[in-house]
Amino acid sequence: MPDMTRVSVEDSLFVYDERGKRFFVLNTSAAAVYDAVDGQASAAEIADRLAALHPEQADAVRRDVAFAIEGLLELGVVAEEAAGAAGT
Amino acid sequence: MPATAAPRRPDRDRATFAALGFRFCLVEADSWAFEAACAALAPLRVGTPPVSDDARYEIRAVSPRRAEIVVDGTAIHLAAEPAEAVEWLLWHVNQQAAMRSSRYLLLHAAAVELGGRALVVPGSSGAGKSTICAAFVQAGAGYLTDELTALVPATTTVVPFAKSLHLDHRSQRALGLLDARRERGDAAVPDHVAPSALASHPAGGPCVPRWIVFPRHDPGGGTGTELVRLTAADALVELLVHSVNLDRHGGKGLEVMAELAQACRCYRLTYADAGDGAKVVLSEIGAGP
Repeated sequence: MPDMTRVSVEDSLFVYDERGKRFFVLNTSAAAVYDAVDGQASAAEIADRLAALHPEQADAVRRDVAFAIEGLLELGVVAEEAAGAAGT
Repeated sequence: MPATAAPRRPDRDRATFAALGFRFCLVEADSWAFEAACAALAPLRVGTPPVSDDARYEIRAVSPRRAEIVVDGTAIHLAAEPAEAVEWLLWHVNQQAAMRSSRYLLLHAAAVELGGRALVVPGSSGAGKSTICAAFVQAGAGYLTDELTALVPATTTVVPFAKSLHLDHRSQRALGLLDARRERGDAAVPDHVAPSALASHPAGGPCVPRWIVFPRHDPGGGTGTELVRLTAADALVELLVHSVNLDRHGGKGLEVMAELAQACRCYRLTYADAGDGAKVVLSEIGAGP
């Protein structure tokens, strides 16, 4: 992601937004979604990919992914263009 | 033979100081205020005047009770009394030091030196940074700063900013710094204390942090003294919150802070009595007296 510096410390991902002069702290789940938002994959594809890692909780993972993408967009952690595919 | 006024010695009417990247001079306009301000700024005084000053301060008495602070010829504050003017001057110098030291990564934090390594104490105003810092110095630590910790980004070295400590009357009493006359209210008690009032050899030198302690002063004493180890991730969140100029350093600043949080042992300290708090911390980190 341009203009974003990321540092992993223990189970948290710290992201600094150079343009907005803000930092964000993402837990493991949010960091996995953040990493998956690449402007290519749709939200459903990201949800399927992450749900496959936790088949016993696939439905919950799909819901969480949708919620996380919405939150990342709202906060500006991911740009509209990067999340374009995921957001639709 | 007409009387002629003896010329003043230059060091009697002009004093120069350095506060991190901020160089300034104080010019005598009122002798009481000049001497009081010089005493309060003494730890920052430099022997050789810089080629040019960033600012030129004066404290002028405008009536027996009122005084104004003048910076570069412009009055910027009218104080109810000269003592308040000195406190305001110290505050202004601190603000300017923060503004003009952008090459450093600045934390809202106190810091002391222990055996060549720094113990950094980040916290908001009122968290008890200065009070616990003073207690560390009384216990033998070298004083580095009480409010603004400056880190060299490339090395994470703490650069001393050993200004007078900002301690209110209550903290001074708790630390045993008020003499009997002042306790009775016979003399005004300034809100600053020179490092030399805490220990005979209080100064610390540049050093790299080894410990970070986030203080919480609980004067009610309900919880006594409690020292809890923090994870590096929790410590990093706190460091970022107490950063003064992260926006100037951006992602590099985040990386430096992360390095610091992971390289240091980090704690949350809750204390009622500063002396007890310092003792618990020093014992935990193996630097007790």
